[in-house]
Amino acid sequence: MLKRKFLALGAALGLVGLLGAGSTAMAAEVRLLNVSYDPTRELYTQYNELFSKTWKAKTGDTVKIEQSHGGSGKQARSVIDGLNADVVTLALGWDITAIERAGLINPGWEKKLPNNASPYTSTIAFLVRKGNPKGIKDWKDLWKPGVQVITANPKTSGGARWVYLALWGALANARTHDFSTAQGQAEATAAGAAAKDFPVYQNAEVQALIADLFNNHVPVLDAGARGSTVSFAQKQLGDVLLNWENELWLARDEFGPEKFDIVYPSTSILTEPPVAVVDKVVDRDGARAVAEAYLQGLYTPEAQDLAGQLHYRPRNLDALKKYSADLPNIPFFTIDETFGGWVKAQTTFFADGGAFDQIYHPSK
Amino acid sequence: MTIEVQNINKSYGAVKVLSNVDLRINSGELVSLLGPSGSGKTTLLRVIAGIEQADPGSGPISFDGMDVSGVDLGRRGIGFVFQSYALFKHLSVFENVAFGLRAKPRRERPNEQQIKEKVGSLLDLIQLGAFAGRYPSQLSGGQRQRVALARALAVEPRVLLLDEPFGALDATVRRELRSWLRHLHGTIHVTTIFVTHDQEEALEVSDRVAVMGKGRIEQFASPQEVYEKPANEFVFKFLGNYNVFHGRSGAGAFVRPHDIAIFRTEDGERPDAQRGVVWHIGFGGPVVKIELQSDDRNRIDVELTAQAYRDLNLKRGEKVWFAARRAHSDFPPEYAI
Amino acid sequence: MAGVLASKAPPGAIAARPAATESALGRRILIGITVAFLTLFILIPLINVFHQAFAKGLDGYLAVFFPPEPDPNAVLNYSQKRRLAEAATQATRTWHSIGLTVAVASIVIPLNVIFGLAAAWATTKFEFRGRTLLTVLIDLPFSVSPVVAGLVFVLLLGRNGIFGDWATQLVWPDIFSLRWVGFGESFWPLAFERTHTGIIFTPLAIVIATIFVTFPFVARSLAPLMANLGPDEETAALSLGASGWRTFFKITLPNVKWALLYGVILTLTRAFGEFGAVSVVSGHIDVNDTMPLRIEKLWNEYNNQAAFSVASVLTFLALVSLVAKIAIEWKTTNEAKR
Ligand SMILES: Nc1ncnc2c1ncn2[C@@H]1O[C@H](COP(=O)(O)OP(=O)(O)OP(=O)(O)O)[C@@H](O)[C@H]1O
Ligand SMILES: [Mg+2]
Repeated sequence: MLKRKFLALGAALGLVGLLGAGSTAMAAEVRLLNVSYDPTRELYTQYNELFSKTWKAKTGDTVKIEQSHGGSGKQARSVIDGLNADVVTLALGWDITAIERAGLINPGWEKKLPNNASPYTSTIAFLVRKGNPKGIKDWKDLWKPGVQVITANPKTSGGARWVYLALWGALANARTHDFSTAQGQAEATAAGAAAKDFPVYQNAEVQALIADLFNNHVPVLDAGARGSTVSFAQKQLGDVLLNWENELWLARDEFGPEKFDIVYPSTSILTEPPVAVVDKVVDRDGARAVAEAYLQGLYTPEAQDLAGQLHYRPRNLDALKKYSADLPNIPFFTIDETFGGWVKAQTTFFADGGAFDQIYHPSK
Repeated sequence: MTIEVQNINKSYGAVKVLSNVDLRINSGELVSLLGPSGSGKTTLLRVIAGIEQADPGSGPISFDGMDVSGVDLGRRGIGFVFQSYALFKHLSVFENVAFGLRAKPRRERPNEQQIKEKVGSLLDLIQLGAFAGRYPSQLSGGQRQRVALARALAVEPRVLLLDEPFGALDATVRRELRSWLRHLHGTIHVTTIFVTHDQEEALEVSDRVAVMGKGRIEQFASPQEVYEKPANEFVFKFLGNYNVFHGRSGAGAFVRPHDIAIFRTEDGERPDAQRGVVWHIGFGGPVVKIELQSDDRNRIDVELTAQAYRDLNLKRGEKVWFAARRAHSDFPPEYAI
Repeated sequence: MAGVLASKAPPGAIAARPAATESALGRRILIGITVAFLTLFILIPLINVFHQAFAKGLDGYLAVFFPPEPDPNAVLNYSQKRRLAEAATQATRTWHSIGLTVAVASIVIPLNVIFGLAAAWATTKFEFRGRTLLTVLIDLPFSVSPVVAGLVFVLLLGRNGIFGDWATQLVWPDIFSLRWVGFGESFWPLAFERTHTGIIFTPLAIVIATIFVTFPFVARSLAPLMANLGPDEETAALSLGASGWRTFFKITLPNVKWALLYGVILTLTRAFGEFGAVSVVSGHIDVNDTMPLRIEKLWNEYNNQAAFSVASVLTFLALVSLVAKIAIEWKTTNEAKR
């Protein structure tokens, strides 16, 4: 009996000792958590390998990058709730603004990295069934009688918000730019910074059209972008899917090019998924240097090439050109110039009681 | 060892189960707690054992003059036998009996050899030497009861507390075990309290009987005394069958069936004799139970010895005389306040 | 023939015979409905799991867990290399999820055995104020949706939660990162290579959520038995001088061991299979994926065959535990008869 007691005492002491040792002897391995939205899993899986190699070569440290993917808004919410993201790479600026407002990211994050802190862009295009039986070529074709449109719910999905803005901007004939040239890109940036008033918001005609589309042509709203792809591709719902360009390519690759065609409208929105370092977390964990390097690395030629290869639009013009066969150039309008940025767009359209809530009546 | 409890009270919620119980038991005595169901016998026994705590404000529970009311159940030196046996189902008879020995603190714990000897001799004592390897489920009720007793005895308790030890057994086994217990007590002389609601059992086995009713001790005396001189009506009624005779004064007198005499002819020496008809004759071995109907249409139970019955040669429907040989009438009022 | 017999039988029997044939018909219909229902909703999906898992043959099935090794002499183009690397990453993530699931279960089970025993003991062997409330509380996890349970922990332990300030700053060592580091650095040769900060969205949160959803199983399978056994055997042991611990280990535990094992199996199955609560508190981090979360991710990546392959492991485990459950039930009823 006594012997057993001593054993137990020894075990307890040992445990305390181990815990103590744990806090003194920490290994040199660095860990980074990248919290991102749904479709980017493949992109970041590959980029993480790339970055680990360059970081090891540069500093000798091993960096292990963990990934978390989910709906963009939900992911932002998790970071606010305590998910220890070192960097966030989300679908839209509003979500990062939400984290900023919770005090975890310092204001001015958009300016810390080039191109509004969005290292690659994408756009919203159409996926139709092979041969385009309903003849859907441009935005106006969505209103053709009998056409069923599949998209996700803008209240819950970041991608769907971009879809909504793309629809609205295209119908309102928003001013576009040529993003395949440096000059066009510069013009767009300047116009975005200079924009003062945003007449699109007052366009009642567009609002009526969009209300008609969502109430009469959209059979179901999935919660996330990936869900809407599954509805269209796997469950065979609807005639056209509105989604991220890269998501359309993924579906085409997964299910076979003989099943679907990708259709580019005459104009669309330039979607700019932003990235940011979560200041509170990296400062606490002493991971700022590696986190910043991780995001800067996204602008390197190798990373830009990787983005292009996976059907994201590189900012780097050489990489963009290299993949121009898959990523055809069309005129793009921007959220900054057309809608005055995400805070304005979010509060007008997607906040509770906003424009979307007013137009959408699913029961009808 | 002497046991003394004073002024024990016990309530479950608002229900008072024991009120002001005093009891003093001499060393080596075998005392039974006798009373109807629900009178608090088990509760009193459990309070003495320390399984249940008496209400605050109760008096001490003393073993050999030492108050044990603060002492844990396991340290009071009692052996407790449950009405349900409470044998350890998953242990063999041997291990059941050895349990208390193995549970002793290291310093007092006998070694394996000693345990074997001790358990062996106990099993012999309960006449189950050959059953050491069996499990409780493979024993008869009486055998289980004896194992429970041996298990309690193994730790050499200073007090043995038995809660209706033979309650669930059939009459023959009960009688057997009863005399066996008496015999056992004669050999080991451990102070024993024995709960029962069987009057015959209590009177036969014990040195003294404590008759309980509604949470109180109504009388505590030798078997003969409680039977012959019941302290009150409750005790009298509880201890056996009785007839009520209404005298001319109207006051009732209680008469035991065997205290009634039957005779054929009117007898001048018995002016109180009454007339009745033999209604039924029941043969019960050494006693014969006669049912009479008196002239005032009361049913009177009479017990005669077989010899007396033969001498009388009674027939059913016959008219006879009967009279009380002995009556109890002057009980104190039942609950004097 | 039957009619002739019936007409001769007493009135009671006449009434009884048609009733018996009717109930036989009814029984057949009921059995038929049950079998059809089970086939439709249980058997077919179950078979489908394995059918889909082996959609690419045994090789395809095994490749989910053991990705093909490239031939060292083969010259591979970029996309072939990419595919191999992808398969390797996926397999690593799958194994990691299996490891995490096993680890979580192996932490949860002993804790829930202790909690469950304590809870069953408290609610069956003692009378005290609030006992009914406690019984209801023990059952609470069954009536709360797992997703809600997960959210409750986010609300408690998240940054803006009630314990948020403390819970998001807590630093704790990852017990699975314990490594031998030698005597160079300190007196102790062992060290944790990794610490976590915070509770929510870490493996600890997964453990907590799993404890929550599996809590009632052990307590529930023990409580009726303990109530039935009553306190007599334990009181007897205590009266024989045994300590509380000895009484517990020598008397109580052996008496309830089968019920306990039954509860453990239920806990294990649920701990392996829990999705909702774990999903919410996992933060969707890949390294926090348990097997069910991993299955969902594979599915969302259009990797159906791999998803079903992992699912087949869970299904197999469920079938094994089912057999174990039946064996225990059979054993205990047989013992009761004895
Ligand atoms: N745990 C309990 N809670 C509430 N009341 C109780 C409890 N145990 C006993 N009682 C009550 O106390 C009274 C006395 O019970 P006790 O068991 O002492 O009676 P008893 O004389 O042993 O009866 P029996 O001969 O039927 O065993 C009964 O009215 C019983 O209902
Ligand atoms: Mg009793």
